[in-house]
Amino acid sequence: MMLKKKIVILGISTLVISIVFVFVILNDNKHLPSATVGSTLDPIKGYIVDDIKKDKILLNSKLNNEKFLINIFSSWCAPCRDEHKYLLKFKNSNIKIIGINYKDSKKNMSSFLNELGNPYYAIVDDKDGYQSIKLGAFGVPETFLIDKKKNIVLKQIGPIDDNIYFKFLEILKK
Amino acid sequence: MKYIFFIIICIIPLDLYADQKINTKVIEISKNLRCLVCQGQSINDSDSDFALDVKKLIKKNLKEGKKDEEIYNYLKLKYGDWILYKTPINVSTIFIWMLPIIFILIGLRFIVKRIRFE
Repeated sequence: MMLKKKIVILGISTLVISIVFVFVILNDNKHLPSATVGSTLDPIKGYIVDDIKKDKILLNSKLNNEKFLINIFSSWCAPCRDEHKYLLKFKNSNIKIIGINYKDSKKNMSSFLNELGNPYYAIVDDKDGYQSIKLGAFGVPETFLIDKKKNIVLKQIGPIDDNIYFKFLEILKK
Repeated sequence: MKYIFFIIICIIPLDLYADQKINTKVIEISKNLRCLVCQGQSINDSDSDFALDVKKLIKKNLKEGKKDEEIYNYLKLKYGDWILYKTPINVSTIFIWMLPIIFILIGLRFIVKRIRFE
């Protein structure tokens, strides 16, 4: 009698623990740790798109006292095409976006931007991927929201969709 | 002329040896890092773009004379504890480190109970 009770208790507790584990794993999988959220942005060197000479300058000083986005993109990345329309929408609402061109050639990048439109205020070359590592990114596309004090506030791994667009917009307009 | 030739022959393997030393060091470090794109693989095993970048970065840092600790700390700063296979002991991870000890204690209790019972 005692043994049966013990087995039942053991079975139920195993079941409960495994259910908890499954739920934790299912819920947590999408939220990879983003250590750089909350940290201050490192200096970024790139060129302003409107600048004809395309001189590389320190972009941090150009973006004082305003919120802006950093978007890692590449012409060979298919999800980047999906999120492009949202980037253009951000641009139309006067939000500056710094594009980090990840492992791409200049030629492919310009045909990509000619085809889909250029949402970027400035572009940073990232042939070796070090700039992405500096931001704590590990793929394309990734988008970061930087606040007025140059802190990374929000990070999106993967393409922007409707929900994320409004989430970003809400914080940008605050 | 002969001497110059001799010296060059002596220097080339030295250079190769130094490079090999750095390469083994890169492998050693990248084995302790988790690839965030294909989780479950170490950065050494993975051929994803991210893993290749990190390996390149490690090599560059080693050539600049940076220490292992500095490289680990830099990557930890950027990607969090998650990137290290060796979990550091702190407030949020102490439970994981204690877990085996807790299991052993529970098991010991069972064994002691059993022995007394018999």
